[in-house]
Amino acid sequence: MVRRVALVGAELEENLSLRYLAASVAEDGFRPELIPFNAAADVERVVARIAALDPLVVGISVPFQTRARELVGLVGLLRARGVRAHVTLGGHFATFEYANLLRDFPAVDSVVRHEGELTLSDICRRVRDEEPVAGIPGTVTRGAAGLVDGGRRPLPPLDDLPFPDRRGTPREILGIASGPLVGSRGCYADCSFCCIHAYHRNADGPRYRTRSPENIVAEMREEYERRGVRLFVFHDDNFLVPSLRRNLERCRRLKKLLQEAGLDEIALVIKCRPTDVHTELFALLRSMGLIRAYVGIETNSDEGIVSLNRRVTPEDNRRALTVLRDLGIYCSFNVLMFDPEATLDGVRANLGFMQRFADVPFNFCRAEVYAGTPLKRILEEQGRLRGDYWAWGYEMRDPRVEVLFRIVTTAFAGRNFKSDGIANLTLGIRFDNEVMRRFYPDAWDPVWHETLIDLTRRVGLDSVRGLERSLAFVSAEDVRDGDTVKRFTMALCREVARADLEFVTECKAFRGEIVRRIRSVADWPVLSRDTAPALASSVGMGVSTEILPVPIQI
Amino acid sequence: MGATDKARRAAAGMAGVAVATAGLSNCDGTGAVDPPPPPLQCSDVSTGQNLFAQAARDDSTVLVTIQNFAQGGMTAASITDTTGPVQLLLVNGPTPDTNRGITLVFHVLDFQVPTATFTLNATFQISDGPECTITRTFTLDLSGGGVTVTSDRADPLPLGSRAPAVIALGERRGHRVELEATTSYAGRWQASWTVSAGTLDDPTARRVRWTLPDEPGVHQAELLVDYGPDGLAVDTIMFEVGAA
Repeated sequence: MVRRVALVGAELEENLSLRYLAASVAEDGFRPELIPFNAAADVERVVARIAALDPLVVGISVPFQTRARELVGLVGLLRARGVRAHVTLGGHFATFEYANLLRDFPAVDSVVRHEGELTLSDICRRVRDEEPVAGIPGTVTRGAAGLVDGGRRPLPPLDDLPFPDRRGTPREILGIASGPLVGSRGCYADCSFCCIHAYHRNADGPRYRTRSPENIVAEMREEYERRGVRLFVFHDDNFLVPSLRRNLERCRRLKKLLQEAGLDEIALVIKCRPTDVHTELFALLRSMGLIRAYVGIETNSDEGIVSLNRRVTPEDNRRALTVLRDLGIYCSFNVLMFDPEATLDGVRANLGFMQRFADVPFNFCRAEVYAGTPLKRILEEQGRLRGDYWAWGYEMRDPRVEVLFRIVTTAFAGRNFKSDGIANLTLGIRFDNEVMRRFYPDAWDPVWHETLIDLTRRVGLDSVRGLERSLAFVSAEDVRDGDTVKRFTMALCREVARADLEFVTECKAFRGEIVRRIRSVADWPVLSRDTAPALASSVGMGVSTEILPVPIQI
Repeated sequence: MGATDKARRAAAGMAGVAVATAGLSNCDGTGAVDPPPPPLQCSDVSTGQNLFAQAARDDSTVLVTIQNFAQGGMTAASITDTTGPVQLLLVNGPTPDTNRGITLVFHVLDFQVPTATFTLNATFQISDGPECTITRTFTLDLSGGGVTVTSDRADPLPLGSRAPAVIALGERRGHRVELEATTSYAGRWQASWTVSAGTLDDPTARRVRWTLPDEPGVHQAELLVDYGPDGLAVDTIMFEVGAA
């Protein structure tokens, strides 16, 4: 009998971490089942589904701290429902917090540390053969004398791994099938806040590994031919290496292989560091179909660059966005405006950068403290780390900066962090525009394009204005005066909310215009296998309100 | 996707009035957006934000009770570094009988000295598993024949609680929608609502009924939750009224 392995995690998109695991255990003769667990409200459905499967092993992916409680909390509910399978946790959070998790959650049998493909397959074989799991390289389990650490498992060459499990139909964006993939794992840089760097540095192997171009194109060809994928979203944390020559060689090879495989009319999305943006390289990538680059700006303040260990200069940041702007490549960035050493001057420097590049969609937030990172260690050594292993926090050294962070986090919470906040909507509408430009060129024109850039700029400048006012407030007022701070924050909250109403209204109208334009040139629905009555939005699903029905008469 | 988002989506499929942003980007992640991480919420237990103390005095005896009203209870406690004119006589708890709090009894040695301090070192069990420890110093004010107890605040700066407020979407009938203010904040809080158009039945209730206008367009309800000295939080929800 083929034994089932239940793999649980978020599946808001095709979850590559689960799907690589699924492919790996399938190769060993097990039957993987992907169990999406996208929100706390899914828990009953998830528990019932797993209980019904009666799997041999349950693997729960716990990559991020924000949802760690929900994901780990699932284990107790599974046991209460009578699930007797071996339950193992994996992912970044579990890799670092294995001791706390195994201490606090007796229902968990093991933790898989670092990359899990080979380790999970070993666990499944041992459990099936009724052999002990303890001691498997890459695992930590409980023993009579405490934790049993199986030691680190050497990281495998990426070309040796089977392609991820691609069951299901791909997501569509404006009728274009989209699929995520990775051409590398890890990052060559060592930013202090970065969990990717921490995760790979802690593993037994290089902290940045690449797949061969041949291996990548083989997977893309399979996706192109079998599922019709045209939009390839590279989820590499960093698509490039710190060598223009090597990047050019690799990308030229990729381009040649794509052409030989007949993979034309495709689009690419990548992420990179600003230091690796060069005109020649990105002109090449654009010729290969690059329609979007996420550029890790993170900070443009001198002290932020040092405390976050960015190893870039403000000039690198400026040059990167200018090169992409000149090449007409859509990009976006995020600013870690607040970090433990942030100063008012540093905030001012970041605001200047955001103002200068307000035509590029951006967002801003605080550098969060993730497990295993240098930032956590530094704060711990300084006695500044607050919270617990579920959620670490800190206060900035300058109380005025700390209060500024609190004010803007409160006032911009809806704009910056909600999935349907205007910051994300602007990113989405700009991406839709690039998809339209690439795949429906007759529906696109430069005037329309400028209209969307203008919306981006107005949203960006509105954020900058609110931040500047807040900066002026904390510079001039007594930030320990709770009533004054609250009054200011309340007024700012209302201003941001009012502006967002106008921006969202505008964004929604633009979205309707994109649909209208595409329908005017495309033979809808022939372009898509999606039977929904409207074109799916840039990130996805839930499209039922694009054509608004007549209101019910009360 | 949170429960609220799910509710919004479910509502979006209904006729007449639609949640405004449904159908636009929503972070489902196909390469369009890279949302920033919202600030992690440290648990109220480990930051000690909801640690409350009360004191009563009877001649030369002071009784102090300390409890945590957030998600976890105290499992162990010790008192150290007592200073000033008091002597610790008794520590009762933490036990289930004391609702996982502790009771302290002090003997006042000198009525001329107005203040005393002591330090609590406590372990808390968070409801779903892990333990954490906090240390907090309390001050007893014995002046005027009474007694008050205050602690060094977990957070002396304003806007200390960053517990988000979330609007939960309730029943919908035509242009009338029911909205509920929700928050994980454990202390006292007050909701207030404003809308860009239409009418609210009670703008300060936690659960309100909003009657949207007939005019087509996108309309917004804004919830502001006031946590008192701990700050405030805001959430909004938008609806679109379609053309008749």
